[in-house]
Parts: sequence; C-alpha cells; structure tokens
Amino acid sequence: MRHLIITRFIHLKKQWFSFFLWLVLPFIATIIIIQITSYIQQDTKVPIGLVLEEETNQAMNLYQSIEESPLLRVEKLNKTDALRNLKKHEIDSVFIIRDGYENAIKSGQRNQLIQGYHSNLSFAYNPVKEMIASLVQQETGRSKAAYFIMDLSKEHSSNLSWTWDEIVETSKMVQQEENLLHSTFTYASNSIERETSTFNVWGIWALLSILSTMLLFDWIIKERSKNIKIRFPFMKISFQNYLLGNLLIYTVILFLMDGISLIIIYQLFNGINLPSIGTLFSFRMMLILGAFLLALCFKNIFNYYSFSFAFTLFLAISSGALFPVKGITNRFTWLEFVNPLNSFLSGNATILWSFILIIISGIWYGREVFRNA
Amino acid sequence: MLKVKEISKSFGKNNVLNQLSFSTQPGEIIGLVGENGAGKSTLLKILATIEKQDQGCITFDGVPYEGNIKDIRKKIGFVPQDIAIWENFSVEENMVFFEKLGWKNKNKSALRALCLDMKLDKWKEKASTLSGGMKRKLNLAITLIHEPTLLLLDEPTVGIDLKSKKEIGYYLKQLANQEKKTIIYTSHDMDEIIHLCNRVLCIGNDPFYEDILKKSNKQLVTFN
Repeated sequence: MRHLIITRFIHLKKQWFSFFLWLVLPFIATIIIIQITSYIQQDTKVPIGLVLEEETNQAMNLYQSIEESPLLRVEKLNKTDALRNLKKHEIDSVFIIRDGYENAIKSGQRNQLIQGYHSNLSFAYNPVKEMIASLVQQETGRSKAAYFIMDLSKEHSSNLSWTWDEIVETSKMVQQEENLLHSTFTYASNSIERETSTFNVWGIWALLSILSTMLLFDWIIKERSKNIKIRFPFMKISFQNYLLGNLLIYTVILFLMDGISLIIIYQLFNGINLPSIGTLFSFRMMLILGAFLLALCFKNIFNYYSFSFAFTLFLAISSGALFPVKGITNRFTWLEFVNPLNSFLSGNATILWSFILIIISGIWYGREVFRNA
Repeated sequence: MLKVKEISKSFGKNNVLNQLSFSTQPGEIIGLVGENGAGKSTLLKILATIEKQDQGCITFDGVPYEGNIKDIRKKIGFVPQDIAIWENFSVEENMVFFEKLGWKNKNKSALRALCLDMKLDKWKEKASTLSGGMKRKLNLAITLIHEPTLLLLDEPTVGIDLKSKKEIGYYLKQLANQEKKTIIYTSHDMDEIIHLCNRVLCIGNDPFYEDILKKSNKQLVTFN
C-alpha cells in the first residue's frame, strides 16, 4: 500500500491544483453561496427605525421581538435621527415605543403605546405596523393573564405567591419550549413530510460534492490508457487492484475532507443540524463508487465531464432546487425514491444506491479477475 | 531456456499460428520476421502470457507456462510496440512509478544507472519533451527494472533515428552476451535483424525474407 501511495502522490503532484480545487470546492462554494444569499437577503430586508423613549424590560423585549423578525432590518435611533432618516428615505418607517409603555402594558392599556411615522415612499408601513401591533397584543395578553392568575391566587387564598414578573417569565419560557405556533401534529403512522429544499447548506454541499467527486475521478479514464495497461501483467499488482487501491486512497482523502468540511460548516453556521455519521458515510460511499463505476464506462474524458455536469444539473432540478417539481414528483413518486439526494437531505442513509453500487463493483472486479487470469 | 512445442492459434477461421515449435538458448537473440498479419505480434503476446495459445505447450527454464503464469511473468520483460510511459512524468518519475509497482525494489541511483547504460541521460526531463529515440529507450528501461531473463520486444525501434537504433541494438547485444538474457525481437528492418540476431524465425514462409537472409550467414527457421 505504501508503494501505491507513492505512485498516487507522483500523479497528484502533476495536477495538485485541479485536485485541490475539486477537493475543497463543495465546502468553499457552499460557504460562499450561503454567505452571498444571506447578504442579498439582508439587503432586501425592510429598514425601519425604532426609538425607545424608555428602556424598561417590556420595551426592550418588544424591541428584541421586532429585531428578530427575518424580514426587518431594525435601526435603533433617537427620534431626531430617525425622523431625519425617514425624510431622506433611508428607512421605510419609524416606530416610537413611548414613555410609559411598561406601565401601560401592566395596567392592560393598549392604546397609543407605539407611535408610527411613514413617508410618501414607505411601502411596508402597514404590514410592519400590523406586526408590531400583534406583538404588543401578545404582551398585553400575557400581562392580563398574569393579573388574572394573581387575582385567582388571592381569591382562593393559595400559598403560591407569584409575582407579575415571574408569571410573565414563566409564560415566555413555556411559549419557547412548547413552540406552540410552529408545532405540527401527525398520526403515528404518518411520517413528517419534509421539504427537501436544496437551498440549504447540506443541499448545496451535497450537489457540489456529487460534481466534485465525479470530476476528481477522471484519473480512471486518464490511467486506463491501453498503452500503460499492458505493463500491469508484469507487475506485482494487477490493474484492477491498482484501481481499487487508488479508490481506497481517494476514499480516505475524501472522508478526511468531509470531516474537515463538517467542522468548518458547523463552526460557521452555528447551530446547523449535522448529518449523522451513518448518513454521511453512506452518501460518500455512494458517490465514490458511483463515480468510479461511471468513469470505467467512459473512454473520452470530454464526454465524461459533459455527463458529470449534465447529471448534476439533472439531480439539482429533480430535487426541486431550481424550480418546484412537486407536481412531477407527486405524479412519478419513483423519481423521488431513486433520487440519491433525497435520502441524504432527509437524513437517511442512502442504502439502496450504496447496496446496488457495491454489487456492481463486485461484478466488475470478478469479471476483471477472470479476464486477467 | 525457452521451449515452444507445437503451438497453434486461430482467430475465428483465420489460422494465424500452426503447429509452431522452436527453442532458444540463454544469451541468444532471435529475430522474428514476416509480413504484416503473419502472426509475429500474436506469437510474442503468447510468449508474454498476454494471449493464450489454442494448442501446444511452452516452458521456460523447465517451468511450464500452464499453471505457473505468475512465476513466469516475473521472468518476462515485454516491450510493447506502442510506447508505454506516462508522458506527463519525468524520466525519473516514470522509473520510480514502475519500480514501486514492480517485483524488484531498486534505489534511484540504480534506476538512473540503468538509464545511463543505454545513454538515456535526461533524468529530470518530462517524457513528452523527449525525442522518439529517448522515449523508446525509456520504454525499454522500464521493462528492465525487474531484471527479466526473457526479453520480448515488439518492434522496439520503429520510427526512430539511426543513432538511437544503433545504441539500443548495442545495449541489447550487451544484455544477451553479458547477462545471458534470451531476447526475441520483431522488426521489419532486415539490416537491424541481420546485424543483431543470432537466429531468425520467419513466420509465413515468405521467399522474400528467405532471399535476403540467405545472403547473410544467419540461421533461418521458417514456419508456415
């Protein structure tokens, strides 16, 4: 094996740039694409100015809730600056959380808590206003509920002496834990349907990995030259073992690269769901064996490259990355079943394809051994 | 000693080799001649174990080919007609590559000495930039890394300049005389065959070759 690694190193030395480029392409390009789309998304957010006349807990909570909205870019300003920016149309609208907001919430008042300003060019004033109103509504509702609980506690002379703040905090905690607004209910026999959007980190990474693995395996076509092959009967390693040995070297390199990619992507996109080791392993095995067997079918390297790009594009389309294909996949359910991306993106091991490819590889190896016997 | 006994080979209805027998001695250079399609390359491939004969048997140093292919192949050096080198590698990288996958471990200085013996001195140069003669020398040098005792060469000097041809011929004679290697050689260049070989095997019983070879003092064996 040591000798085989040395011979592979001689080959890689000659094409280190393209080798390195295709090796790092999946995770570098994934990071770049995600960063660019995030930047574009950031740029398309509605800019609003928020003025806090008081900085009480309630006011700060509302500010945080507004800021967390994925569609808004919130600028915390003083009233003068905010109105000046609005006049210059640098922001879409201005909202002022007025002095006495917390007291008003606690006393159950809902009128004139927020003051809004807009210009003749404001296009999102009304939806933003509605959103803020709903958040205020939520807070006043919570406050009312707190007072109601406290009254009940007094009425029934309970030993529990909860304060308003404790009840509100507990309510928020329960809301976060239960995530009532986002929960879905399914029956035990039904699986949760997931949207396999490829415009997520792992979707992009998987697509680019397919392309890069196929392009990395062009060595098979280059090294299967008839001229060189004739030397192998007189060497200590047969040609099919030479190919398999190199396949193993590539497998190790690609697995290492996957590990590094996983760590880097995890660090960059904090909190992202990582695919399980089993899912990643079966996906990588499927890619390696698929690219290996496919390259064995080609003699012309240009045809192989063309096929690789076309195949990746087909997978991108059929997985719904470029345009919605729900109509097609609903009609032809097998399309979803055979698409190797679907299993990976839904967090399952690509057992079917890996199993088929292992069998084909075994048949290829057996045939070569028989042919060279 | 190579012994070939009544071997036959046909491709469909085309009978290429028919009951062919001969034997060789260590240190002997045998020329293989005949017109295109006569079966020279087929015979060479059968002797190199790349093809299998339909009938007959072959032994080398008393070991039959049948059932001992792996051991026999260790003793064979086959120089294919097409140059079998990595064009994008240097001479050094080519030699190291095939040494690593070959039967005999040799250090770089031994590999370099092998190249220098046949006046291949462009050690660091890329194979694609070498002349045709130099490439042919590299093609031969790679075959000799594992020190084969039976050397089979399929038109090893085709399309190269006279100087390189002479240098390769001289080197092969040295290998036969000093290292007692058996060399079987195909070529269409009759001057080269007459100059280099101890004995000539003519496949196809062509009077053209017989006439040329009768004028030299070479022993001629013809096969139908």
